[in-house]
Amino acid sequence: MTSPYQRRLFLLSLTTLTLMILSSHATAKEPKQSDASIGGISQEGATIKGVVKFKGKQVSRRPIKMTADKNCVALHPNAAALDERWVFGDNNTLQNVFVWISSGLEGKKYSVPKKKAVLDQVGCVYTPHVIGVFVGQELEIRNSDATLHNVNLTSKYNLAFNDAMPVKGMKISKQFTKPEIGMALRCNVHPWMVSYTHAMKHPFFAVTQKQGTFEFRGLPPGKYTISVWHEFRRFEPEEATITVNVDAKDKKDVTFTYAPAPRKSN
Amino acid sequence: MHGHSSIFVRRLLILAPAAALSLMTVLILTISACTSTTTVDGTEHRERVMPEATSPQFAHGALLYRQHCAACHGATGNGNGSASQTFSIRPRAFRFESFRFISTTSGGAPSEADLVRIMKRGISRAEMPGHAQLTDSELNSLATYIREIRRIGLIDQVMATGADAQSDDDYGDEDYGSDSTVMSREEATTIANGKLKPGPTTVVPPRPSEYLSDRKNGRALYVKNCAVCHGQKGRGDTSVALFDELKRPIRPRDLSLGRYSGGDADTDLYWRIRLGIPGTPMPGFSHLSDSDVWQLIDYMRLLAKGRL
Repeated sequence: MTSPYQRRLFLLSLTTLTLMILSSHATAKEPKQSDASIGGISQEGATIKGVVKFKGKQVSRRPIKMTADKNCVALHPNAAALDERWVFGDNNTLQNVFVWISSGLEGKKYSVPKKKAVLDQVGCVYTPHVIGVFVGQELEIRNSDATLHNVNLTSKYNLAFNDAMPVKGMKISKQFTKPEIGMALRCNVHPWMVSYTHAMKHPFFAVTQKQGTFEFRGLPPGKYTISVWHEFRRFEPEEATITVNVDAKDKKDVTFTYAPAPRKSN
Repeated sequence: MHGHSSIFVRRLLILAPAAALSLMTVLILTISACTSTTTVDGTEHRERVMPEATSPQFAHGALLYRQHCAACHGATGNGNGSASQTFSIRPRAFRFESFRFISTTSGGAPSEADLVRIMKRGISRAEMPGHAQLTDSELNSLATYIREIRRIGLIDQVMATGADAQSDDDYGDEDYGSDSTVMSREEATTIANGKLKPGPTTVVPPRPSEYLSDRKNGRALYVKNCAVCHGQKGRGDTSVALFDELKRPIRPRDLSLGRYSGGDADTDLYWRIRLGIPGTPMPGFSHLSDSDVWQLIDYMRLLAKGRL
């Protein structure tokens, strides 16, 4: 037989356990900050949410022929990696679209994140394919492949660089001094390798992921222009920019729609 | 016509206090700056050759450029001078292309000394002759002037709207949208100046004292770092299709020839390996230890002697 004391102890421990489970569940519900489709700051303010739709025929992605380097082929033993020039998301959306606030934040200052942005080379493919960084933020470029890559950046406003990364696990660090859209980073040894880096002076930028959505949090009230950029230039947005007015704590929704432009005959 | 003459008057006003000699040279320049040039396809167009002359040294450089460089590199630095038509290797178009041979920082601009070094020595594998007959002061003036041509090219590049030629894909059927960023000339000039500012010169360290040339080690380093482009035997025979910054096919150097565009000295090879060659696929190998770079240089010498 259990004494009343033992029973009380049992109940107490049960409650504690339940509380612990509940609290851990609550923390798990916090938004994932590493989600590239969410931009902004964790401060009270307006939210602009949106989606990038795709209208038209979705051509399937092409497998990349990596025959130029057998090391790369060996890294994809089961199936070839797919080309990332266009990647469609769920429900007729478009992934890898860079979305940013292109006007309305003039004169506002935002501190450079201490956390570095990371761009890796895995299986002879850049991961992520599209990345946004702060001007002055550290961009760490890694090589996780046991083959030689060179990272060759072409840039209009920032300094170009071209560094060899022949060793697995090697890291180099870069920074940008000017805001710039669409800096192409390429590997000359593996011509299929390309990624796009965008440098910004504020945190309100996002890259659409599987859901095709984006979100900017913590915006002060104001009138903002939102712009979109996608690397495949035959995809044209119906509206390249959308202007939104927000008051404090407003939640606004916007939709961009990309469609393939008709092929030009020569 | 009106805009034209006002520029002319402004230039005269700016130059009024200058010495008589430099005034005369600049006048010649101003006239030449406004002459029409006829391109190969016969269309006539005006090209701005140079901005306002800022110093007598600059004017001096302009004259020297016309005497010694323009025949091949073109009056406007477009690499299309009349004498270059039969060349096997196109002269560098300073206006549109990065300077290749640097001793500064990877991906950066050359120092004045870098430009002078190449002009003095020439490029043995191309048609570029050495200009050792020129004095140091003349070479310095030329370096200043050539850098000005590059600055104008860079400003145009920065200000150009529309698709960046360098971000093109090999998509035959692709039509590129335009980049609508509009930039003022002042802002573009600041950016161009930043890009042209040479970093500190990379000092070439002496061979480490405990250093021992080791062919096996050199071979291993070569295979790991160089062979993918320069080929197993250094013949520049690669299966990788390589392109320069203007999307022209480019071949990696045949290292067995033992002639290097950027100079044959140990220091030149050290800089090429460490810093890369801007505008080409050749990257800088910043991670190698000094001793490894020396091993590679020694291995390159062996390749060149045909001993391997």
